[in-house]
Amino acid sequence: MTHTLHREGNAEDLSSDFPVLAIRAKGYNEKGNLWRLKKILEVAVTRYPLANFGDIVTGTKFTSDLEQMMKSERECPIVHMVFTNRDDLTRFLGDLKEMNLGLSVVVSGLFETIFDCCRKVGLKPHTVNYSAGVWGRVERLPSLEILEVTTLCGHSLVSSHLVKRFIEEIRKGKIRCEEAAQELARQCVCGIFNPIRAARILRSVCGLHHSPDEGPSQE
Amino acid sequence: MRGGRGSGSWRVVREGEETEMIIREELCIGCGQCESYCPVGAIVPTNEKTNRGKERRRIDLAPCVECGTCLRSRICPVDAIFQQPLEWPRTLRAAFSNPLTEHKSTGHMGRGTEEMKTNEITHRFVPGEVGVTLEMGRPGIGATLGEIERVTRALAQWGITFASDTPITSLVVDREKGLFPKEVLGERVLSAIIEFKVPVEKLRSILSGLQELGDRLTTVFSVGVISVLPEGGDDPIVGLLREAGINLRPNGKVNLGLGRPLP
Repeated sequence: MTHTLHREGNAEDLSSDFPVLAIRAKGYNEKGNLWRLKKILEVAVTRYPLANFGDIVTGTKFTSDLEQMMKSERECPIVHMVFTNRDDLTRFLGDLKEMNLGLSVVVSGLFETIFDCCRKVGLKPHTVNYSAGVWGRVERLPSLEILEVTTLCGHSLVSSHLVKRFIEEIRKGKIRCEEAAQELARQCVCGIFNPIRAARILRSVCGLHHSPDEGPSQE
Repeated sequence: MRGGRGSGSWRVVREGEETEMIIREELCIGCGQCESYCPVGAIVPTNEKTNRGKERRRIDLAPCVECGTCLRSRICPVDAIFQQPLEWPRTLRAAFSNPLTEHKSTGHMGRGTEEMKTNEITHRFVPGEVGVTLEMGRPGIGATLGEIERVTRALAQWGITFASDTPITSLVVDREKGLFPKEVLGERVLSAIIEFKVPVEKLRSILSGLQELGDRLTTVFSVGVISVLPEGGDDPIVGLLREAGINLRPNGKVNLGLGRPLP
């Protein structure tokens, strides 16, 4: 799976978007170690204000909850957590180092920031996956602003038509940016969609500059 | 997969158990809420109207990739969205497009392998070689397997060996020619990953060939390059790609090297 690899956006926008996944390796540490995967998820969710989290068999922050994920005995292959700033990410990487659970962890986001976070806690990254972008008939793609939202779901389950509809509805005052972003997040089945970033993009596209922390008004 | 509004949590569907998505027109009230949820625009008006003069919707099965989004969204207020049994080769649409469908070929949900995610343990990629992932149809355009076969054919001609354990490789019936079975070529998927690795010195020519091929396709593909980081130094792959005129995004994925074999 490459689903957190090709997130669109400029460096400033990407600086608040760090999906993290933990995974067991088939044939090496898969059996009997589901608890380790859950421990990583539990630590992340209980200690940090995540934009999203989830596992593909149980659900996400917007379709399930941590309790269900902890209780589930079904074998989930991967857990996901979306961090929103470098400080939380750095502290979490420190937690992972200290817990020493032996499972693979992959962080997506700005390379410069991730490498810096690793340096601060003394981790040495092993392998890197670069995105060389989209090739082929790129003229068929929707606008960059729409792609910045839809590529937050790597399985392409967030429809560009739905994003466009919500932009129209936000402009008409029918729905708030945050509500629209959360409804978009519900379409992502593995918990990597970042609705905080999506709301910010929607607000910018619609020419609104009101922070969600400032109250219900949208200008 | 959810069974409908108000039902329990998601259920993982195995390949072969999938069902064709339809809207039951006799139930549809023509509210149109579902239309924009479809990632490929396959939900369309029927030209038939309800008693209240609203146009009913149907799913156009040709572009529909069986991703399950319309049903999972629970957006239909009258539960008119249903799934019907799928038959081969349409089953492939769900296998590649619905992340909750488990592939028979890999026994896993997902379109690819663990690739770089567990590389510190598996050493699937070692220094001196790079991994390449071509995610056909992504983002959001989709692709037919016939279109994807055009790429596997070209890669086979260039001497590429496909990663052995991926859903796409399981479809290749002739690895020397990169051919899929003829009966699957018309099937349409939201995305599918072609995965392989090459020696570093071959990367530039392969990517250059793919750029040329991309211009002749009718869809898009997202390109990923995987590299093991050298001890304490900059990755030469970045410079190599830059020299080839290939711009890398400032963001990507980093394996932290925390994994190890466990009892």
